[in-house]
Order: sequence, then C-alpha cells, then structure tokens
Amino acid sequence: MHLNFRKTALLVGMFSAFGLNHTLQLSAASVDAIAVVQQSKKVTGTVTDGTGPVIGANVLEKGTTNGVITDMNGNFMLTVRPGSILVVSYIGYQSQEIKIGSQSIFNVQLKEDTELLDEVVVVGYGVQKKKLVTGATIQVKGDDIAKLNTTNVLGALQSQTPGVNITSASGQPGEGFKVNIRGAGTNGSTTPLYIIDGVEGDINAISPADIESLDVLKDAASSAIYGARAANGVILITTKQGKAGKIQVTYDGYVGWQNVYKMPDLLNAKQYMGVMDQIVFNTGGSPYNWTNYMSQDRYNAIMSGADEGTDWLDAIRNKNAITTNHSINIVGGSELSKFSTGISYYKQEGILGKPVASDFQRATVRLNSEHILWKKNNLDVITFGENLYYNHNQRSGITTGNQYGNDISNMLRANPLIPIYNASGDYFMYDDLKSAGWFNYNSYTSNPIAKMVNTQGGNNLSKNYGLTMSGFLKIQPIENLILKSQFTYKQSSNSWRGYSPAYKINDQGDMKTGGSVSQSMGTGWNWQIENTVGYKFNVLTNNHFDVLLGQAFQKSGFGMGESMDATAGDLLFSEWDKAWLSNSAATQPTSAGGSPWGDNALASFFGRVNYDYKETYMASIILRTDGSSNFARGHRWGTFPSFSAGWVVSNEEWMKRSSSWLDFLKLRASWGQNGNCNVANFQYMATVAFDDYGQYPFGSKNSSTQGGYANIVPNSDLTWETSEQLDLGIDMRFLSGRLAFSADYYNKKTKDLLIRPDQLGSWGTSGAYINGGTVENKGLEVALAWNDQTAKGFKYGANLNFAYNKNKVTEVKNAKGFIEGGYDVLAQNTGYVSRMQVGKPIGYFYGYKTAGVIQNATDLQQYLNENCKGLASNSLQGSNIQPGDLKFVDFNGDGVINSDDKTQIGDPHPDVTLGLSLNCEYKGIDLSVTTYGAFGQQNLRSYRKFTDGQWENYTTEVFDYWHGEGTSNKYPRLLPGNSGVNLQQISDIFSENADYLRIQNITLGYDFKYLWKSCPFQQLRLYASVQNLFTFTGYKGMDPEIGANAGSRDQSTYEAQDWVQGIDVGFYPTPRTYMVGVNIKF
Amino acid sequence: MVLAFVFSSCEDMLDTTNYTQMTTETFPEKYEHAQQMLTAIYQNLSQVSANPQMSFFYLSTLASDDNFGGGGKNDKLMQAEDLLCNYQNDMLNQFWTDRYTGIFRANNLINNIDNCKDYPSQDARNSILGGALTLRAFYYYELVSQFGRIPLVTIAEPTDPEQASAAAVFGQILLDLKTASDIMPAQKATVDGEVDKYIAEALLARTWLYYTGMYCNGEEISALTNTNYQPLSSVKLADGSTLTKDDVVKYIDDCVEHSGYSLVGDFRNLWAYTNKCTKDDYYYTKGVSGLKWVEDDNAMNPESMFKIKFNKLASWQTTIGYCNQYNLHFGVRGGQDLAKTFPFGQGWGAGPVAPNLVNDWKSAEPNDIRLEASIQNVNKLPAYNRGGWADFVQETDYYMKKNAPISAVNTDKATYPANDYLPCFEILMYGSSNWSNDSKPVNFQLNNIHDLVLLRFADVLLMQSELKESITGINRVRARVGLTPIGAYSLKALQNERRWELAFEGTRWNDIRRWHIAADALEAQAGQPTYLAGSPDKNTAHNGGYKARYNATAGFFKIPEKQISLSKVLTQNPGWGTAEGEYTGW
Repeated sequence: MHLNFRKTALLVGMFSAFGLNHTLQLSAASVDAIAVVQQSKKVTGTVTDGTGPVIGANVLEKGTTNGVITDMNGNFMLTVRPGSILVVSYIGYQSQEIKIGSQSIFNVQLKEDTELLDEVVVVGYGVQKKKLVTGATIQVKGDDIAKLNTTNVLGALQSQTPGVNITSASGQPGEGFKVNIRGAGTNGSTTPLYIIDGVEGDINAISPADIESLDVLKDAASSAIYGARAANGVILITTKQGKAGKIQVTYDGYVGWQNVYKMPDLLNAKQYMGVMDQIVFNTGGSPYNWTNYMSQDRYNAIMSGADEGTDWLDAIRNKNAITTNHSINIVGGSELSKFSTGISYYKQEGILGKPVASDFQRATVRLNSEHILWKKNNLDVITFGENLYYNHNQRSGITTGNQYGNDISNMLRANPLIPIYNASGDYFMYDDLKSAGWFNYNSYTSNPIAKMVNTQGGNNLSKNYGLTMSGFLKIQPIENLILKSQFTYKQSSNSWRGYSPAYKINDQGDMKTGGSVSQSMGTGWNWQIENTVGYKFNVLTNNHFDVLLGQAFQKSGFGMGESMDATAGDLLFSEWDKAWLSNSAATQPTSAGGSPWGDNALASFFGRVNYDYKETYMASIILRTDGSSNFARGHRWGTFPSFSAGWVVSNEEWMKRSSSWLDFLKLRASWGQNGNCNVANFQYMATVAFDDYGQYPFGSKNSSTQGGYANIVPNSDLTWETSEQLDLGIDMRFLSGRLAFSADYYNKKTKDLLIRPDQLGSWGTSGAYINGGTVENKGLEVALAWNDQTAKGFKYGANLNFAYNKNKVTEVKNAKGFIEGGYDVLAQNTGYVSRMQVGKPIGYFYGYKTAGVIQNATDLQQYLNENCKGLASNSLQGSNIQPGDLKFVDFNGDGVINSDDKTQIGDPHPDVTLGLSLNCEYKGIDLSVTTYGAFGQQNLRSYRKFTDGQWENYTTEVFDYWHGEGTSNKYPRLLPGNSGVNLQQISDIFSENADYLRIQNITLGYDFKYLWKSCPFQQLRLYASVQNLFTFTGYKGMDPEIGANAGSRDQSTYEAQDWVQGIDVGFYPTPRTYMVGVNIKF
Repeated sequence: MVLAFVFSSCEDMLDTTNYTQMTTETFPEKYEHAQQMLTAIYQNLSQVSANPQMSFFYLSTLASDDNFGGGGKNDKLMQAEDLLCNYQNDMLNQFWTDRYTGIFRANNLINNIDNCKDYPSQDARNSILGGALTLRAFYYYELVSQFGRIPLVTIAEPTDPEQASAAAVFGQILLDLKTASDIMPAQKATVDGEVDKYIAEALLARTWLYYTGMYCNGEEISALTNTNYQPLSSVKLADGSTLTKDDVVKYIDDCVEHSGYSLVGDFRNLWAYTNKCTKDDYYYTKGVSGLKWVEDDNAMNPESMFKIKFNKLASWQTTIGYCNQYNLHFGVRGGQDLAKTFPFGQGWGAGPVAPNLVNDWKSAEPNDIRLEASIQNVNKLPAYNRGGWADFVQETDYYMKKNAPISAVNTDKATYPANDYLPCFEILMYGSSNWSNDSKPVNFQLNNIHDLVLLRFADVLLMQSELKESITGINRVRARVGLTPIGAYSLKALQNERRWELAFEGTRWNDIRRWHIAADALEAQAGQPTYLAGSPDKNTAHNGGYKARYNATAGFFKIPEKQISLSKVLTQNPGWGTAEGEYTGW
C-alpha cells in the first residue's frame, strides 16, 4: 500500500485545477513529442527505493519532454542524447539528476523525501500545502471514498474522519445521514455546509465516483472563510478535474445483493396466544376463546406448531435486493485545455417494503473543463473554466419515522394470528376481519401490509432534478497575483405523486371510500457570484505571504421559483399508473396550493492572510462579514474572525538529532468564530396568516369564511447564532513516514442558539425564535496510520482514528432552563422524552431510573422503606404496588416518587467513535477491512406502542418479563400496556446501550494486469466485497445506529426537532450487502 | 467610501418582501381586516372542537351528575373527567393553549379596533367590537370554569401574569359582555353562527348566575364547596363600575322581549334525529305528525342562539375541528353495524347517561316527553351489542340523543353503492360534493356537521325566571312540552326544569356547582348499575369517590403541569399533585 498511497497523491487533480506549478510529467504520452534526434543513446535501468522497485517513477531527459515511467519491476528504457542529464523523480522521494556518461545501465535508488510531499489540501477559495495548514482539517481522497462502494459519500466517510459523527438516518434507499462535526452544537440542524467546487450544494445528489478529494474543515479557524454558514463545520468537495496528457477512461461498476442483517424475534402465533392469555390472567380475567376468531382446525394447527402464523416483518422482506452502480470517467487534455467528464448511474432496492417498490435511482453527469486563453511565457494569464453538474434522482418508499404511520413499526406490532391473504387470494382485510370476529378481539386489528399497499405511503414516487453550472475566469497579470471571478447558476426541480385507492382497514375508521391522488411540483433557480483576489509574495526571501480578498453574493427568491400542489379524489381509474389529477371525475381538486419561493439573500466580504517564515513558523488570519436577509436591518450583519498559528518544530536546528526517527513535528493552535443564520425569514415581524387555522364555517356547509390572524410574537432583535472554537493540534511522522500521528483537542462553544422556546399557553400565539442558548463540545481526536512495504513487495497499512466528544448545554434562556422534545415518540401519552437542559448533553433522555423489579413482599417493604418513607401511597404505583412492579428510584430523596424524580436515563450521542481499517496488497491482490464503532450512546427503544392497547405483538423479550420471584430484575410483570405505571412512565427500561463495532467493509480484489501484462488496460481489477458483515453490539434492536429523530416535532409550532434523536420504534436497518465489481482503466 | 457604498447597496439587496403573508405593520388598517380578524376569533370554536375531549363543553358533560365518563379502557381521559381526576401531566393542556389562542386573537382586535378607519357605520364597528368582546368573554368563562385560577391577559403581548382572582376575571368577563350588550345594534344576527347583542345579554346572565352563585361564600375551596347558597347581588367590574342584579334582569328582559329568538314548536324538532333523511325510519319518530328538524337543509334554527357551526371542510391535514367531533365522541361504541343501532351512528361511547338521571326524571316528571326525546334506551334499538370493542367502561343502558351522530338509510345507492346505511345523515342532506376529506364521503369521523348548540332561547327563559324568581319562563318552557304549569316559583322547581330541559347541553355542571349542590348530586352516581366490557357491574368509587374529589377541588381541574413549569408564577390548584387526584385505570 505504500506505493499506492503515493500514487494516489500523485493523481491529485488540484495541481492543475488551481494552476500550481507541477513539475511532474505524469504519463509516457509525451514520448510522442520527441523531436527528430540526430544522435541518440539507449539507456536502461531500474529504479528502487530502500525496499524494492519503484513503479511509475518518472524518468525524464532534463530540459525536454522526453521521458518514460518505470514498469512493474521498476525498469525503464529511454533513448536520450548523449551527455544529457536524466531526472528521476517520484512523488514522495527526492528527485535525482544523473549525468549520462558512457554508461548505459543505471540503477537508481531514490531517497525518500522526509519532508513528505508538498501535498496540498483544499482550504476554501484556494489550496494550501498540507504542512503549512494551521487548522484542523482532514482530507479524504476520492479513491478512498469510491473504494467503499457506498451509495452516499457520507457512508464512506464514517470510518475515515475522526470527529465527524455520521449516522444513518434510515436504511431505506435514498434516505441520507445525520452528520455532526465535533458534536451536536445546536438545537437546529447540525448538517455542515457542503461546498462542491466552490458552490454550496447537496452531498446526497453527488455520485461518489465524481469526487477527487473531500476536505473536512473542522475547527472554526479553517471554516471561518465561510463564516456565515460555517457554524456546523464545512465539507469541501472537489470533483475530478481535467489533466493534461493521454485521455484516460475508467469504468467502475458493481452489483450487490442486500439483505436484512438482523431480524427481531417476534412472537409466533402460538407464543402470541400464550402471552395474551397470560396478560388477561394476570389481571384476573379468563383466557381468550381463540376459536371465536378462527376455525378449530387452524387453532389445532397453531397449537401443534404446524401453523406459526404471520411474521409480518419477514413477509415484507425483499430478499437479495439489488444494488448496482456504473460510472465512467474520462480525463484528458493538453497543457492549454483540460477536461474531465463523468457519468454515473446508481440504483438501490430496499430490503424491506415488499410488495411496495422501495427504491432509489440516481443518474449524474459531470463536465468539468479548464482552458488557458492566454499564455505568456510560462504565465497563465487568462484562464477560463467551467464545472457543470446534473443530477436526476428518483425514489419511492414506505413510510418510516415516528410511531404513527411507520410501516416497519406496523409490521412489528401486528397480530401474528391474522393471515395476509384470504381464501380467494386477496388481502385479508376489513370484511374478512369483521366476519372472523376479530373486531370483537380488538377493533384496531388490521392487516398492515394491506395498509401499506393501499396508502400514499406505499404508492409514491418523487423525483429531483438539479443542475449546477458555474463558470470562472482567472486572470494572472503578474506572477502569483490571481484575480478570479466565478458565477454560478443553479436550477432545481422536483415532483412528487402519491396515490391511495379506496380501502377499509379497521373498525376505528381507518378507511377511505374513494381513491385520491396528490401531485406536487416545484421548480426554481438561484445565482451566486464570487470575486477573489489572491497574491502570493515573499518579503526578505523567507517571509512568505499568501493574501486573499473576496466578496460573494447569492440570491434566490421571488420570481425565481414556485411550487404547486393539488389533491383530487373521485378517480376514474384505480391503479397507480393511471392516478393523475386529470383522471378525476370531480370538477375541482379537493385541495390545491401554489406559492413562490421566499426571498433570500446573503452578502459576504472576506479576507485571509497566510504567513510563514521558512515554512517553520506559520500564522493565518481570516475575517469574514456576512449579511443575511433573514434578519432585520441592524441585526443582519455578522463578523466572524479567526486566528491560527503553527510551528514545524522538526525544522529547528536543535531537532536534527532526532531526525533519524522523527521526520516531522508540527504544533498548531487556532481560535475562531462562525455563524449560523439557519432560521425562517420574517421572524422580526409579526406576520399575519390567512390559512386553514383562520377559517370559520358560518352559514355554509360547503365553504368557510377566511379570517386572518397574527401568528407569531416577533423578535426584531434576532441575530446570528455563533460558534466559537479553540483547537490545539499536533502532527507527527516517524520512521521515514511510515508512521503518522496527529491529535487535536478542541473546545467548541455555540452561542446565541436560534431557539424557539416552548412558550406559555397564555401567550396565545407561537413565539418567535430567540437567541437563547449555548452548547459546549469538548473533545479529542487522534489519528494513527502505519504504512509499509516489505522487501518482497508486500504492502500493508493500518489506520486507526479515535474521537472523544463531550457535549454539554450551558445555557437555555427560558424560565425552566430546559427545552423539551420528543413528545409521545415512543407511545401515545408518554409525553416528552428528550431534553435540552443546562448541564446536560443536548437531547438526553429524561425519565425515571429504576432499580430492578420488586421480587417479593420483603423486597417490596425494603423498596418502600428506602424510597417512599415506607408508605405505598408515596410510590409511583400508589397503594396497589406489588411484587413484579418496577422499583422507581427516589432520585431527589424526598421520600415520594413523583415527576421530580425524573432524571437522565440516556444520551444518544456517542462518547467515543472509532474507525480502524487494515489493508494489504501483494502482487496484484488487495485486501482491505474497514470497521467503525461508536461507544457510550444509548437508544430509547420500543417496538410496541405499549400504551395503545394490550394486543400488539411482542418480541421474545416478553419472556423476560417478571412472572414470579427471581424471574426478571429488569422488566415488570406483564400487564395490559395501558394500565399501571410500570410501562406508562418513561424509565430506563426503555433506554439501551447502543455501543457497537461494525465490520463495515471487507474487499478482496485482484488486478489481472499482473497476470495478463499485455492487456490493453492499465488496470483490470475484479473484486468481491461485503458491507456490514458483522456488528458487535449488545443492542437488542435490529440496528444500533439510529440517526433518525423519529419524526419528533415541536408541539406548538410543529417544526422538526433535529436535536431529538436515538429513538428506535422500528428503524429501517442498514442492509448487509455482498457485491462483486470491476475497475477498468484504459 | 466605496466600502460604505457597497454596504449600503447590499442592505437594499438584503431587504426582502413577504409575498405570502401580511404583517402587523399593515394589518389591520381596513374594515375588511377587522372582519377577517373577527373570523379568526370565531375559528377558535372550531380549533377547540378538534380535541373535544379537553374542551369545557365535553368536560362539563362528563363531570356532571348526569353522565359517566365511558369510552374504552384506553380512554382514561374520559373516565378521569367523570371522576374529577387527572390522567397524565397535561391532560387538558390543549384546551388551555387553544382557548388562550382565541383570547389572543380577540385581544388583538379589541385593542386595534380603531386602527381601521373605513367602517361604513358606527354600528358596523360596534358589531365587530361587540363580537370580539363577547367571544373573549365566552372563552374566559369556559377557561375560568374549568381551571378556576387563571392568568387574565387582555393585551396581545407575551406576558406571564400571576393567576387573577375570580373577582378580577369575572369583573372583566362581565364588563366585556355588558359593553357588547350596550354597543351592538339591536338586531338579531342575520348570518348563522354570528353573535349578536342578545347573545351577549344571555351570556351576561349566564356568567352572572355562575359567578354570583359559585362565589357567594368567597373564593377559597371551603367557601366554594360550602353548601350555603346566597347569590351576590352586585359585582364590581374591571372598569370600576358596578353591575347589579337589576341591571342583569334588564338585559335578560330585553333579550326575551326584543331578540326575535323563539321557542321551537315541538321540542323534538330541535334535534337532528328528526331530520328529513332519518325520521321516517326511526321507530321513535316514524309517523309522528309535526316532526321536522328545524335545521333541515341548513335552515337557521330560531331557538338556538350561540352555537358552533361545522361544514364539509374538516380534514386530517388541516383540522378536524371543522366537523362535529362531539357527535363522534358521544356516538355508539363498538363499530356496530349501523342497522343494529339505527339511527345512532358510530363513535367512541363517551358520556353514557347516568341511570340516576333517568330515575330522578321519571319520578319527578313522569309525563315529560323530553325524557325520551333526550335519552335513548339501547334496549329499544334494533340489535345493540353491549360491551363495544370488549373494553367499554361505565356503559349504561342509555345514550344521549341531543348531540349524537345520526345515521340514515342510504337512498343514494347510485353514489354509495356499497352502503345500506350512511353513518351520518349529512352525507345525504348536503350532497356528495365539496367534502375535503374524501371525494365520496362515508366517514363516520368527519361527516357529522350539524351545529353544536351552546345557548338556546329556552335557557334564556329559564335564566329570566331564576333571576326574577318568576314562573313565566319556566311555564313557557313547560307549556311547549305539554306539561302543566307550576303555580309558584321555587329554586327546586327551577333546578329540575333546567336539568330536564337542558340535559346534556353543557349547563348542568356549572349549575350544580353554583347552586352548591354538586357534591351530593355527584355522589348519587356512585354504585349505579353499569356494564364493564359488556358484563354487569357497578359504578365503583375511585380515588376516594365523587364527593371527596369535589370537596377537594370544587370542580376545578388540574392546571397543566407544562404551563406551571413554563411560568415563573403559576401555581397548582388545591386538590391536585397527590396520588389521590391521579387516575390510573378502571
């Protein structure tokens, strides 16, 4: 892997994209350019380093374009003029010059450049040598992303970026990830700012195959150049750029088969009947007479085990669901004109939801090119370029999310005694249920598959089309003074259609008498312009300055976009393909809407000075000012400064002694501020709404009179949320670069959080946002990498990264000092489960602590003595408390168990995340293993809506419920879910440790180029890979990685509560995928 | 300077316009705006109806001595309201929040009424202001009746005031109603559903009777539950003036004499079961001459004064409060075939009629046709199944008729081929078009759209009798149902007359409280025969029993804990916060 690592670095397209001088000739193509040689001499040789041959080293006749690269064995052959000089170079090594004498065979041993490469990283509006970077950034190469074959770029980042916490928001195809960089710093969205080729964009719309490199700016100083919107950190994505040289075509493709990794153990028919009987028995009733609902034959078959009933979740499994990807990339050009093109198609089927088609498809086209319009001497005076990206996504799926309308939850909870189909092969639905008498058992009894296929949740298709076009002009009047102007136009459109036929599900009115269809469409565009001036100069030789000044403006708004939606019933046809608004017999839609895109603008001015002295002492100052249209005049401008400094200690004279083992040592420190204006516009005015909540039906049965009302309490003082961060870092490399180590400590404080505190009901209207809170994240990130190669050419490497984060809310500006969220997310009437509270981690779970289950009368009295002043009436269960009840802990010690005893019972945020990857390569065979783990977090899980009735199915965990002394010390005695407080009150019995370590990817590949040397390909690699092979976890749910917030919404404003997460009520799990693929390079 | 220019031009570019909403900078400034603001205040009637189980109307029905809680084992809130208990922290929070939303909207209009300059006449302005004052007063009346100690907010700004004394709250309510009565034009409302001068006068009388009775011994729990009944005769209003009983008599006399509201000829024609689509198939109304629902085909009911209007626009996406959710809750439990329970439609079985009411009624007024006109004995239904959904709690043999969902035999097979019966007669009466929930609506949850009457002229007559201690009003009401006139006024006669005439109309709860007879009246429910999941049972005491709960709380419910925790000053009502007040299950 040693050499691969270097090779990868070699391919960095940034050299060319940003006009840096690159000294290396990258291909042998230039051999074509050899002029007629009068005299010539053939020279041959082998290039090696300390460990073996160097493949792909550049051998060039100095001062010409005549050169070759070394082959597999490090050999080269070149015809040169006698007396010329050979330049042998390879990235990561010191170049050597060899005078051609009489000798014609040269064995060259390259020495490693211990300064390491002049590797560059993207820093926003430019690039910087990695060794001079003073902030905390991580670069991930496009190849390393592509290698993992994930649908989404973020899926591949998980294990490679310490401090970037990425969790799947749902395993359903096309649903993204929840991302936070260095801990959740805000109650709002923690999504970082994604900048794709200089333009704010959507990471979900981009194909991993198009990525050249991805840079994560973690500390405030690094991201300060994007001040306004950088409070959550910035991820810079550079797509593949053109390169001069022979045209290179690559094809990458794979096909994979996905399956559910772990199914829950639901009760089968017989077990279910047993548990239901037990429940009524425990409450003094007599067992069910099951033959009231089924034939004696079926009953017998169930009791004998011949009929296990319906496993609803298993019934909707889509076994061996296909995932496939094809991408073609073409790169090429001349010194003056370069291009890069990529076309990708991706398709993924869902593993759950059958017969509903749950799938996602994405097609992308990328065209990047750059042209030097005027070249004077060696100076690229005028350069023009453009980046064009088009994506077409479409998806359909089942409903996931909160406890309501969640198809997976519906399957988990459904009665296993209900058949899927009736005798005539139709769904066993209302009439069947009714005639079988099931509504006398429970009026909510239903067929959840029939429900899924008959509602819009199972009949929908959404499409998104996005086009980003940007063009730039770069003028370099004198060397190192670059004026750049970039204009971007973005267009996006979307449509959605959902259909529901007539259906009748249960006896509680879940029904629809006529089919209906909904369609919505939106389209719009926006633009942005950016102008920068950069100048690099030296003062007194050793003082290097790199100065940048810039301005940007972006605008979207009225007249630039609009959306419409409508719903109609009375459909002429009753099938999905023919469900359109026009195919309605009704004279008008049942609802219709149309609205413009809101006005939105952001104006910015920024500047940056990078300074270094002999590449040993570095400092950087960044200042950015942004004005956002989301705030009132006088509150809209925010200024975000940052300072950072670095010291390459290993450059010091007095460090030479240790240079034998320590190659590089840099210390870094940075401090900066970033902003966040992610809030709805017009919060500074009291708006008047004319909506559905302002109508009244006076005399008419057919129409209402529309009224208007002020709908918020305005806050004209509202301003930016600000994130402030201190970062201290160290980077080291040892043993000729084989071992690398870096570590960062940070303290990030997000102030003036944009929150909409729960307000008094007596205000009578929604409150506006206020700047009302502070969250602190402190943490440590460590990355260790080892890369080496044995004498026999066995290359191997290991990367370990580790991140620790501690999250704490330090201020909430309301009367209570906390905000509540996650209302009724686990089950009806369970109230709030999440809190954002001073002194606690954001979104921690709030409830009762329990100390096990009361086992017997003595135990009961002891519990009462210790917690309830000996009185049953002081217990939460009241005077009826008995063995089998939970021991709710008297947390505040007042001898009475009540809501004052609720406290922290979990925290959805991991303390530690860990990524470990191992790889090796030998003679064309490569093997890599990637693992990712998260530790210290809890999930709140319930696969049953336990307060909704006693008839929902259980998992086999029900056998661990207390049923007599010594049978359980965790779960209480079985009671109908809706009686007694044991289950109704949220306690730590729902909070489970969700630590996990996942073997994310194992790939074994072979490059047939090694076997078939004469093949026309530069690479012909076949591989097999498995994703999500195994998860080490004690978590009992299907998947411990829960990024979803379970659809939690604010109770008064109905806005999504991003900070509520870790709730598992039936989560669409991440699949296990076996795949085979091919990489071909022409 | 360049920079300054750049920045200032940026400021202009950063200014944005709201194209989809007005702002309070320009609203209200026209007559039209004032009308729109008033409409949005009325909307609160619908808003609260979306969660009827938390509303005062519903609570006062279930909490009264005439009804139990009912519903299934899950519907603990229904049972808790009957038992004067609490269930979960924020059982009634929705009502608290929603009602204050209505109050906020009213405050906004009342305080900005004169921002609008183009009223066509002073009467037009006064109609709007009077409407807003009346609605605000009504909203406060319900809130204060339900919670007792509430913050009094009369400005449209965020504040966190301490709970006001009842004297202060009622000083404001009575002032609002008096002002509305004084300024509104002497004209009956022409738009169905709007309030007018006479409705304000009648609500003034209703509020007066409640306040002067309930608080005649003081505001402490002991005073409120004391059985001494000596109503106050004058009240100090919020503006410092004094309102006397004589003033109130003047207003109620005006209402009786000049309002134009009148008693409907046949008592049964007030209720939806006499509608034209149903009455000929219902054994009770079939072939009875003179029966015709006064609201047939959306006609204006001459007797109903203040009401909540409903229409076809209810939907799960907006609010289901635009249809009559009270009907649904009071409907027949168990998803029973409509044929078996005809003409009563499906619902959740809230508020079973307490047998003690039936017994009292039969013995006090054996010839009263209103008994059968108001109460359905399930044994007379075609094939009623007890124990609906196998979990019916506090079921009795009786359902309320007045606000029940009413079904109809399907006479439109062309449109609804699959149905023999339609769950709501409104589907036939108002046609299949324009329903927002479905194109061919057959939805028992959303298709009940007949009015919920909150105030009838008969109530005005009875209040007049009570205030003047005269027999005129009582005897007009009795005459309509063919009962012999009473000879002399007595409180007992008045109390009985109100109980029979106004049964299940939301007035009984405050009546027994203000007369200081609540504790004993409620206790009469204890031990009454009921069914539990279909099996005979008794209405057993919970949480210490009705009387104890009443004496601990005076019938004021628990202030939502959420509001207390959000406020710096709110405190909990007496009688709450211990296990005694917390209902955990039947």
